[in-house]
Amino acid sequence: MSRFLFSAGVLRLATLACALALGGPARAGLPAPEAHLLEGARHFREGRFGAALIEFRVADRLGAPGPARWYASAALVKLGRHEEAVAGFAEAAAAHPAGRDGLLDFYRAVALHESRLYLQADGVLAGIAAVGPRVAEQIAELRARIAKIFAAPPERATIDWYHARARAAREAARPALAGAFAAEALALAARRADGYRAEEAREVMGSVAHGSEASRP
Amino acid sequence: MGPLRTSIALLFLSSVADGATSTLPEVEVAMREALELHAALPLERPELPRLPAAPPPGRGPERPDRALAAGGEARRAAIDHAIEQAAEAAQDALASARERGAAATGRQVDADSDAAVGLGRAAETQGLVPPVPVWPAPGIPPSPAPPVP
Repeated sequence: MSRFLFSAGVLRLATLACALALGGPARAGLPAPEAHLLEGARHFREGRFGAALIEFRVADRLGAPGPARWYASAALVKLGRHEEAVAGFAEAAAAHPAGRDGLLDFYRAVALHESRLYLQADGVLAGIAAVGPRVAEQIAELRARIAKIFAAPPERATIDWYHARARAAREAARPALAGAFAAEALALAARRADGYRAEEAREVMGSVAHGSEASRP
Repeated sequence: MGPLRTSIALLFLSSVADGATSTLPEVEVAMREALELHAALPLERPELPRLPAAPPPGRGPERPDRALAAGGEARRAAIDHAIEQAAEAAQDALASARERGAAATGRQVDADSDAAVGLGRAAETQGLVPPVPVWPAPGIPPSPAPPVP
């Protein structure tokens, strides 16, 4: 037992020492993961979203997966990689729910919206509180836009589209995304009297519930 | 120091290392500022997507022979025009191949020339352009001229 503890302790210390030594942007007084998060935040602020994404992913590898995955997903939104961001936010929320924040939820809603997951975007937007007046205004505007397209029940061809996307995502080994498209199909089916393909959507959601895309490049 | 004490000490140190991975207020503030700054509405107006309806069984894209069978001078003229354009393109490719062949005498012509020569030959076999002898053949060095008797 003591040998195991000793090995685990040595491994952790060695990892920390390497991280501090090789941490690149590490600053005096800041551990390596935090230094990378801070560097990523600076890149993000300056609009260098690709560089920010790299820093957040390095921080994740060095042991700060909680905030790093949320921030990396926000960077993906700014890079226009919305479907990756949808999967990233879903995994961050499942693994580190404490990292959730009103601003990050706004970015998540944008990723959902741009992936045409409108009902899920509206659900996230509805739950956002404690943001500044400018973002609050944007939330109201986005919800109004979404409300307009649901004035009438969705057509069958629309629900078919979501099922097709869920199938494609599943075939591409992207379970989180497949689950998101299936969830949207289910929410749309609930807006029709006939509940078109609702059971099928539930089955897809159940089958991909435990998948992960965290290791995708 | 016995192994147990060593382990306890290392566990303490590793727990300090673990504690360092929680987000510092400095990071949170910087990231919050950055997120606020770049929060922006999507440009595109939302619209619900639709899966296009599949064509009924037995109906594929219209083929030229079917179009001809359906008749109509306009369609016939359009097809003739397309054939003329293809023949012109083949002639241009052949001319280009001749030029390149002349420049590349004694060495192998590149892949583009091969493709152009192939296209030109295809046009010849269809009778679209008169046949042109190719000498020397691509990739084969010219043989010495036959002795004059």
